[in-house]
Amino acid sequence: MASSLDISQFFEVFFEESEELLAEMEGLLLAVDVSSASPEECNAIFRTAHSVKGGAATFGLDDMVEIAHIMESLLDDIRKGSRKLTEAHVSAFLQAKDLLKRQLNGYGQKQPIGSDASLDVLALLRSLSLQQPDDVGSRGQSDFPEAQAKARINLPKIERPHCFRMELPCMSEDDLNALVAELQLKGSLTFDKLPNGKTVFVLETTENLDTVVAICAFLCNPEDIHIAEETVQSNAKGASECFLPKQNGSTAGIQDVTYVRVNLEKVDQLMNLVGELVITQAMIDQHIGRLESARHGQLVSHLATLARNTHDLQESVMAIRMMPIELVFSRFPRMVRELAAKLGKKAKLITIGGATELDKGLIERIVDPITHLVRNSVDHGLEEPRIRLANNKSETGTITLSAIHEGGHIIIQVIDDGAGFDRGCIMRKAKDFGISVSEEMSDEELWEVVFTPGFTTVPSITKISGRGVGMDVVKRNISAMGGSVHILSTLGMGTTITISLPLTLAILDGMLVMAGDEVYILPLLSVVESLQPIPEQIHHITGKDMVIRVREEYIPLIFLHDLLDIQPRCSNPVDGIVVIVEGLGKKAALLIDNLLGQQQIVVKNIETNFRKIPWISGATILGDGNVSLILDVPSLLNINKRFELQRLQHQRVT
Amino acid sequence: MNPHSEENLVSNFGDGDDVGADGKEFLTFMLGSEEYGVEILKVQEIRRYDHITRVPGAPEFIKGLSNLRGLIVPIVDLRIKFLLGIPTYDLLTTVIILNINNRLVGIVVSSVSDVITLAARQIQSFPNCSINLKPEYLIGLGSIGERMIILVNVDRLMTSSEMELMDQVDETSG
Repeated sequence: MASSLDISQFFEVFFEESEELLAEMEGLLLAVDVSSASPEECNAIFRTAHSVKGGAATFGLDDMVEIAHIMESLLDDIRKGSRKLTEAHVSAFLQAKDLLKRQLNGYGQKQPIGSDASLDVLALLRSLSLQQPDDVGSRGQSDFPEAQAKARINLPKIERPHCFRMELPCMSEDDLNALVAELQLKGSLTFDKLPNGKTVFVLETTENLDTVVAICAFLCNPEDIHIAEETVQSNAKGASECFLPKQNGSTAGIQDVTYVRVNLEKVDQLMNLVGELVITQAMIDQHIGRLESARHGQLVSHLATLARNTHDLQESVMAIRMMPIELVFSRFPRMVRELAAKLGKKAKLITIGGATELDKGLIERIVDPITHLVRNSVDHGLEEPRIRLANNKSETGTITLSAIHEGGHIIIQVIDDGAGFDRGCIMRKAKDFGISVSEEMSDEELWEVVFTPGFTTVPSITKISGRGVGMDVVKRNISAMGGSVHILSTLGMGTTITISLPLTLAILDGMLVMAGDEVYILPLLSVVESLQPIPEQIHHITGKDMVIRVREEYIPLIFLHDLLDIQPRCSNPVDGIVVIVEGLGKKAALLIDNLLGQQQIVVKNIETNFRKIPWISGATILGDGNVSLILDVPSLLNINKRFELQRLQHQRVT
Repeated sequence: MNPHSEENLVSNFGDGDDVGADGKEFLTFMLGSEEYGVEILKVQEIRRYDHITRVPGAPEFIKGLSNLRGLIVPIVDLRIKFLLGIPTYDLLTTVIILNINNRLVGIVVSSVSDVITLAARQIQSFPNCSINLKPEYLIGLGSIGERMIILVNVDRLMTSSEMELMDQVDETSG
């Protein structure tokens, strides 16, 4: 390596990689079961420590190297089986991982943390390494071969001859002969039949393991092949057996995927450019509509191709930004574990749908709200073990984090099987707090009060939560992302908090609607249907409010003109068009003047230069260069409730 | 740094800004028949009055949102805000795009006059005599010969709650 090479340019890569490694280490440490830790798991942990050490050493970060080195040595003993993994190890490693992370961040911000900070952890690790390694003689020995058998090691890439010992499942004579013939081409082969029908091959070859497996895979299921590699020179002592990764392999499975590290700015720039392209596309579309198709048939068809390509390009670019929500979920096992321990509770965390993908921008912003909710669940939701036992529940509380795609949304749920909301208690607190509540309110409506700033039902403030900041911030953050929060809770059974978020904030399919002289956009995903109402469908409620009957359903009718203060073209619903919108199980009918069509739109944030506008979630630029506002369907769906509340409050005042 | 004796008069000259001996440049413009000025460094560009999309529920002086090369920018008409009569929109009507702490806002003006340099001694603190314009939104009154130019502190004006251009963050609770 040239000495003039500026190593600092690799710093960033090192930081990112180390961060990922440390996160992986934490995940592995939390997942490992000390009583039956497989060497495979120990190996994986060892590798993360080893890699961090290697990186740190390259940049001369000695304090990190020191910590990682001791960890590595301990883990080396453990993976070799000469030392037994204990709970003490795991918690020491977790502390060491935290320290490494702090040290790493310190270097990242060019403010290295002092060596004092590492003294405790160093002492802890040293004391562990001073402990006598387990006596391998008796019990250790018996565990050893079995443990080794489970180990999966990195495959050596050396050219010298290998000696593979393969154990193959039962197969027909023909197949066996074919295999023997094939393998003999690769090297010298001896084989033997075992009493149980299996066949054992010993093959000395210069081919690597993958090739040998590939040959066998023609004739039998690779998962059923047990292959051990023996180095030719040495004896069986150096043997290390390999398991082939199963299709549904464990989390530590090494995937054969290559990545390119790209600066996020470049991706964003690409997104912006594609956004502009989509707008230009819309402009062209407007113009070709006016062309005579007879004379310009070719042009029109080429432009249609262009439109399709633009759409595909845009989807591909969007996919770059999509990341699995596992990135968020992975931080919670530890948090739940530590919180529960601190509170004297027992909790286990189940995550479902970690592979569900979400825009990177949203991933970053969803962390805080979910953290709040999980913390609340452990602190307020789950009861203490003895109370749980008294209520015929299992001692250990369960918190479930799940994510699924639904339409253009991702639905994230935080579910606990804890105490649930107490209607009476919330009602009382709400009254104390000066919020108007009534007995007639449904549970769902009543739970909304917990989103009031400062509202708390906890008599005393705990260290973890209960200050009353939280739920309102959660709601605000999620609304800012264009999502909504929904609470379901049953006393004694638990609480489910559902967050619904759009997959991306960047581009959506919109329906252009005309109200008065103004063009508004409805996200197409929330549009169920549009229809021209007939008088028999419209029904009045208390004179002013109206509902529309669509098939067997009564849907509240919202006059967009009234709401948005627009001069209407039509005052009678039957002169206009009704668009039925839906979200989170609710429906509403919007009265508009006209439908203009569908178009892909690039969502622009209004709040960059302006403030939030009621009923509006964002803006876009149409083909003619004008700004158009995007209607916020979730807030429109909640409109009646709000009017009711306003009216209630108004009545109270007067 | 370079204290002028007149500086005491300059009550609201930018926050921590120093006029300096050479003075500061201002873009001056007409709102109705009155001449106003803003610091030229706050001005990003000048555009013609173009299509503006109305914002539902906004006060009258917020004309709406405009497309500035892909950015959504709010446009306000200070003639309405300052109660300077019924505004007219004609060929001279211009929009000045201001950049205030990286937020863009456009102001509709009757016409743009010129760019002038004012030294600190040419700027007088504002006599507290207007109902429509609070003194904290002004840098002061500039004078060049017989012309009086009302120098607006756009930083404070545009970020104030009465302009309704920003979400007012209420973090005091909790």
